[in-house]
Amino acid sequence: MSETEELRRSDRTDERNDLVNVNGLKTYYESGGILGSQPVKAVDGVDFDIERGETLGLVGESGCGKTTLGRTLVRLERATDGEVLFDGEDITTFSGKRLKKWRRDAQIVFQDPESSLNDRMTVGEIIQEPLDVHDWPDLDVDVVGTQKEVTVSGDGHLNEDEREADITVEVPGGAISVRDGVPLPQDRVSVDVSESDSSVTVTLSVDVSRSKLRRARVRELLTTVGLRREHYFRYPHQFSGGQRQRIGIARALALEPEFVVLDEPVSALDVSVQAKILNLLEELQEEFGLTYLFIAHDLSVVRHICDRVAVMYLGHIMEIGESDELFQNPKNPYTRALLSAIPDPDPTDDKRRITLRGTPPSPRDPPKGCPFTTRCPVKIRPSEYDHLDEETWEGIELLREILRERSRADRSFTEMARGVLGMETRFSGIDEIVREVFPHRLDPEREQALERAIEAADGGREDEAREILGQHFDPEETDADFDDLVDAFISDVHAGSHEQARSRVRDRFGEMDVPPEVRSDVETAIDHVRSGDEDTAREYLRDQFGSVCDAESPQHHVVSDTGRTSYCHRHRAEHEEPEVVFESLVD
Amino acid sequence: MSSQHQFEEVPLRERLATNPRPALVWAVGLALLLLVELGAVISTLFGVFELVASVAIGAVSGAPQGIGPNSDATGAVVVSILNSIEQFGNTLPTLLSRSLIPNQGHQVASGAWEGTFLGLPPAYAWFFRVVLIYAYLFLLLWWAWFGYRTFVEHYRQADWTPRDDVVDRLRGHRWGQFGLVIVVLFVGLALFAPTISPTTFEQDIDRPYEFEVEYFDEETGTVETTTAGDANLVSSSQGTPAYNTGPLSYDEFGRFHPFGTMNLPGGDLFTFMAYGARVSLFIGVTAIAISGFIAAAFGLLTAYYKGFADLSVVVISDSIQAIPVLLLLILINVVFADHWLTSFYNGGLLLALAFGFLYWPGLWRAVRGPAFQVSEQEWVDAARSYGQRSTTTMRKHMLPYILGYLLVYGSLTIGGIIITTAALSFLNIGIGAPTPEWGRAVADGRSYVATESWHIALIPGILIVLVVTALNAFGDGIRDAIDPQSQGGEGAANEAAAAGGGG
Ligand code: SF4
Repeated sequence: MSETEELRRSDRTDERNDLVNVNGLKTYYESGGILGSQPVKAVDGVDFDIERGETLGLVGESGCGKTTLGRTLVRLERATDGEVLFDGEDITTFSGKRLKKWRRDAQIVFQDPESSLNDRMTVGEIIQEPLDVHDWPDLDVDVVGTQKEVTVSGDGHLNEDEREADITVEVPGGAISVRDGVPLPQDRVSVDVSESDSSVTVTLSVDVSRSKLRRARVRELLTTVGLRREHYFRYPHQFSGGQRQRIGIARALALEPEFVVLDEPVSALDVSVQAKILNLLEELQEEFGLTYLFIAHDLSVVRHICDRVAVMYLGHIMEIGESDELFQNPKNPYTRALLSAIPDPDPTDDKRRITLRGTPPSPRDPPKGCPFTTRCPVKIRPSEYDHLDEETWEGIELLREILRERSRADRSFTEMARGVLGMETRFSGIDEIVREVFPHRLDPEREQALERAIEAADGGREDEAREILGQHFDPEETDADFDDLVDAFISDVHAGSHEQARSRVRDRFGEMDVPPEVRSDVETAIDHVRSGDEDTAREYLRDQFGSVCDAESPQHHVVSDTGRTSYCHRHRAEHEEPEVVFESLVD
Repeated sequence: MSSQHQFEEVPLRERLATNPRPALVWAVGLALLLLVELGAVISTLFGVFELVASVAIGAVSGAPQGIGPNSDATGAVVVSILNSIEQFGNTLPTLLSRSLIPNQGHQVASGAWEGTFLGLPPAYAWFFRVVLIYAYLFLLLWWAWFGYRTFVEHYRQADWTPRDDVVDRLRGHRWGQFGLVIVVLFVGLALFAPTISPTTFEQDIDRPYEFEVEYFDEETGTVETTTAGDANLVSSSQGTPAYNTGPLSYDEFGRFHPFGTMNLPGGDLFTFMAYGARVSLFIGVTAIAISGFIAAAFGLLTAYYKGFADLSVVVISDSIQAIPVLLLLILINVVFADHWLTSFYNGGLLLALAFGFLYWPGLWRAVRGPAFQVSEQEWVDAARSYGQRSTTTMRKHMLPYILGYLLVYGSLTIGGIIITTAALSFLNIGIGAPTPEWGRAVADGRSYVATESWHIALIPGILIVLVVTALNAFGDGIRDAIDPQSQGGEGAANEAAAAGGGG
């Protein structure tokens, strides 16, 4: 691909009107309490921007750090490093009054409507609380139509921030207008304007108390989110999940934020209700010009509502771009794998499911290089192994993944003691693993005997099959129960799965069938495991078979005209593009 | 759209104004109920204020001069004012008073009674007074309940609140209600001690030789006079048929003893128990108020801040729980022997403070789990996300969820404190004479258990068991009401009771 050049962020921000810029953001948890333990790298260096008024989807498997990222953006978590620019100001450095003031601009809707509403408070009290905290409304005043110095006294004060003032007074004349959103009838406000040569003094009097205005605002919010005004005095218990989520949305909107993080807002709801809530969210966005970060694990929901999508894996953003295009034609190997997991509504599309091996690595101990390296189906091979057959390569990767996962599982105290005492530990199961992972082969004579046994069993002559097997295979050779093995063999044959029957015997009695060039390396690693030195085995395999994916962090390559980026080495000129390799895998 | 904003909510004031009848009925009823007991209400209330003021002054000046109205410390003026108001309360006419329904009188030659209510025998006069007192108490409680129902029916804007469910469950909980009734009886005994007793503390225990008793002498056929102290000596229970006044009987001086009399120097056991209930209740409530407050504060702080805050409180509470309670109390007894604090209730206040300090770790552990649970709720995060202050978050979003548990474990712990106080008096290291304490009655009477005078130890013993059981039952009731799923709560509750009683 010709446009595989690194994205220049500054080039892009010029044409866009960004509300949020996230640069090199990291959020680590020092959890566990044990001193010196590795922090959880929930968000491990992400960069992205959110344009004013757009909806950015954030998807990924659970535990990938998407919720932490969302919470960091609204300052529910502290960033470890990096910056979050909100209207150009780094909110990670905010504190005290400044932080509190900013909190009006960024709100969050939580996933679980059961847990997000205090069920000892009435709906009215719940929605009103943010208003109380910020002593809403400001009753700030803009005075227009004069160049003179303006002072405002009485119930209001001069508007000091960028937000639209609650009340606008025209000078001269003293015409008043109250902005939408403040439930204050104009006839309840009066002003007294006195003008001198150099200054204007506006004295404002409002004959409705703030708390009354708040309660009126709460009632309006209730109708805004599709509830009824009378619900003010009800308790959360009296509502369904969907209604409770509406209450949560009303609370988030109470302070008229610009930016709302939606943390899986519909995943706890019935499918029938989900669509309604999503529609509501879209309507509200339109009405109030909101900017959303929509966190989800359900890709179909994201596709429906988001303008752009970021795909997250293990604290990194793997791919980010226009949502339609990303769904149509995913570039990043992880995105492809993730998308292949959702059932395609289009039956003509013969896309094959890609199943990933293993589980995501622990965010305490992420892999070096690409975060997806332990599971990537199209991982780059070192050039010397390019021609190696798929089965062997897959076997080596699988072995590495198994060793990796085992190193994660905490060893119990007894196991540790047994290891120290040189007694047999669970690591001795390596033989079984090797049998599972690599293909095995018999010598020609035994191979022939095997075929005869299958023929006999197939022809209903089980005794003959048993005899043949008994003659050629020594029960002493294997630690498994020979009779059980033969029984399983025969029932496999009867079930018609001959290949399974063959490999059953081959795995037990055959030699590991790997090409000679890798054979000694694999055996060295296996020997390390046998002697209990699993870490050395891992290191060794990494040194021998590791590629650029294991060694270097990829870059965010621009992969389309719209500026989509993908975090993968395969976009570099010297490698094949991921989709090409995927095609060859499927064939 | 700004022109049709409606301010449709009606403040309580207006709701009352549109439909004043039910509220008025209730308020008038309450006023009447309080009015008939105005003197008692005032004197009890200001008696408590006076005590608090004395302790506060003592704490500030660090000297025992805060006590009593006659000292010359600056704050003593306050105390003396409070004291005079208390005295003034005593002079106000009160419906349920000893003077209105007297039970202390004497027989005359004809066999009739003089000086008692309507000339009834003292037993009936006394019993009548007791019935009236409890009738009044339960009426007052019922009126409070009626007030709540009135509010719900006529004035509350919400048609349902989570509290309604709790109330409903409590209404169906017979075991808890049994506990509540006994607790009310006990509290009534303590609150109305001066009125409910056949005689008074001053006359019977404190200064018996300054009071006179008139009685009908059958030998001379005339009404004679003696001091209460001498009469007590003669009528005391000493384990022999000749020297014994059992429960529900008259002594040689025509005085009725519902629970019998005590051993030398004698005195009415019921009176002792009534005033003793005051002391137990005072110690229990003071201790639980202190430890409950500390436990709630730490519970909220540790759950909200977690980590280091939690760890340090764990360490502190573990250290306190590691102290052998008995040893510490003996130590306090010795160290504070001449301290001004000891002068309240003969060491009762000191004991209450010590219990308050010793029992908060147990309570804190009981609420720590629930507190952590609510701190994990997303509504706490939500409060942070719009900038709510941490203290307000704790109070508004966490405290309501642990208060119930505090009440449950508090009632269990009060039972434990009452037992421990009694046990200490039994061992003679708790509250000294003359302040009445149930445990001392048990201790005093224990050598008479197998004799005619079994009642001295047995009745207080049974009452202690009854009250503690009732507190447990009440705690169970509340727990089941606030947390209907708590099947496993049984073990934890017992644990707390054991911890509470383990002193
Ligand atoms: S860099 Fe690309 S090819 Fe390599 S492991 Fe990561 S996703 Fe797979």
